Amino acid sequence: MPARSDAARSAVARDADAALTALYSEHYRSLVRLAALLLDDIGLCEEVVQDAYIRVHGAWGRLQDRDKALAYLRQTVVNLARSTLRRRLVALKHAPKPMPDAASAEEGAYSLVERAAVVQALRELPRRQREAVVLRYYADMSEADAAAVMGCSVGSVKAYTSRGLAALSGKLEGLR
Amino acid sequence: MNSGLEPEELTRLLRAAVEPIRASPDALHQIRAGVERRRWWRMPLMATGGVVMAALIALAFVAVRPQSSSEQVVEPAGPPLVSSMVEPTAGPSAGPSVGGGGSGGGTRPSGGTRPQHTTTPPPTTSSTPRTGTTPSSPVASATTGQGGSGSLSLPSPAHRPALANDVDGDGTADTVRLNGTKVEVVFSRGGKAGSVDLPNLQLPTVHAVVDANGDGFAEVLVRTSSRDNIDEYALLRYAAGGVLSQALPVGGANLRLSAGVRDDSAFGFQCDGSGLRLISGTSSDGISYQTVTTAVQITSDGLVAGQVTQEMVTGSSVGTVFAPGCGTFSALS
Repeated sequence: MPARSDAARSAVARDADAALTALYSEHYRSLVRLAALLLDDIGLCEEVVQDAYIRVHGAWGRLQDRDKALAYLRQTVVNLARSTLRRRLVALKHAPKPMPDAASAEEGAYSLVERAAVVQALRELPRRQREAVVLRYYADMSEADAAAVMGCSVGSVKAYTSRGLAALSGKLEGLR
Repeated sequence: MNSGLEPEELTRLLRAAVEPIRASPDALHQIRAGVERRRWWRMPLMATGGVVMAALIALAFVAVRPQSSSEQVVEPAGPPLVSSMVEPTAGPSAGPSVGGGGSGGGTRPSGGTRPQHTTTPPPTTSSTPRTGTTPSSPVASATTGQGGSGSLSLPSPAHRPALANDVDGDGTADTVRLNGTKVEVVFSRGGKAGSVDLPNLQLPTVHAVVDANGDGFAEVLVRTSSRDNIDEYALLRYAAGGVLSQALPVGGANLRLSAGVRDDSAFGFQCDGSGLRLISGTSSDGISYQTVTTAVQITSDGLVAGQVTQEMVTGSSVGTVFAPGCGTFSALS
């Protein structure tokens, strides 16, 4: 039945396009901000979030529960942020020599974020503690949801959050 | 929990820190462009994947498809010219020696003066004389069916010739036993058993394990039937793949593994480590026999007839020649 299959495929594609637009208008900005807190390089946060949107669109036909599209999108953003961090670490290890500071094209909003004390303190945390703190206190997710996104247990999320919060307190106290 | 930083304060700080971030105006456009790029990449990738999968399935089918016997081309080997001794005045008895029926001839060669070499083809269908009363089923068990195990190679033997009862050539004796009409050999190589079913096997029977051709793998000779003073035998051997198979004549040659004397016909076989020699004889007086000896090679494809010689046998040597002269036979149970 190729005709029916093509029709079904077209319907899924139309559905995915509509869902993509809706998800974009509702959540794009908050997801970019989430990525900005997870990544060391704020300039990459839009790229990561756009890649997550493209992947969710491609997997739309396989998505079992369409209502969980936002959760899926968040998880994809977290996973891509992790991958980006790993790649950056490898690139830094193999960099021949440090590049001179270049004038940023994104002076303005990004530099404001970079200069924020809490962002600087957040970047000094281990990756998992940073993820737990951001998902719990910025994305306002429950411990169970954060555990699902991070791929660990609720107890681990509690431990990461507690340690991360304590570390941030100490760092921010020192900056005051 | 943390006296320095409350969760609510941290939430406020985080939101305030990222508040300046705005989405780029062309973000949605870039996402849609990425979706299109991904779509265009996926189509040829899926098509290529489908082609590769179809090719793999076709290859797997060709690899595992069993070859039917009708597709196997068996080229009968051309009969090489062999030298044999023929009495020049043999007269009518010369016929059965090389290709004649021989059942009723059996006249002694009368006074040949000098043997001379003649070139004759090896026997293909009637190298051994057969009488009309010979039971057909035991003959069929030794001359029909498939030959060897094909072209797979055998492992290297531990000793040449093989040690006692070492059918699989690993230097350790193997056990030969009977299971109904099946002759089973428990191979010490791998611990598995191979068997050959001999439907016409007459019990009780005897067997001998001997390396007939000295290749390091002992053959198993089993008496399949015994009628009218003629015993029929089957030759079993270790074949590639760790199986036991019956060595049968290649190309449908009539090579009869028999022993005994009946009326004016007699049969026997011998081995000396270089292969088998099948002997058939005819007699007109029951005392002297004109014999035809066919050298037989035991190959991976089966029994291959080789050189044919003739001679006269008389007196006491008749009982020795027309006997199963290959190994020591003992009861098989």
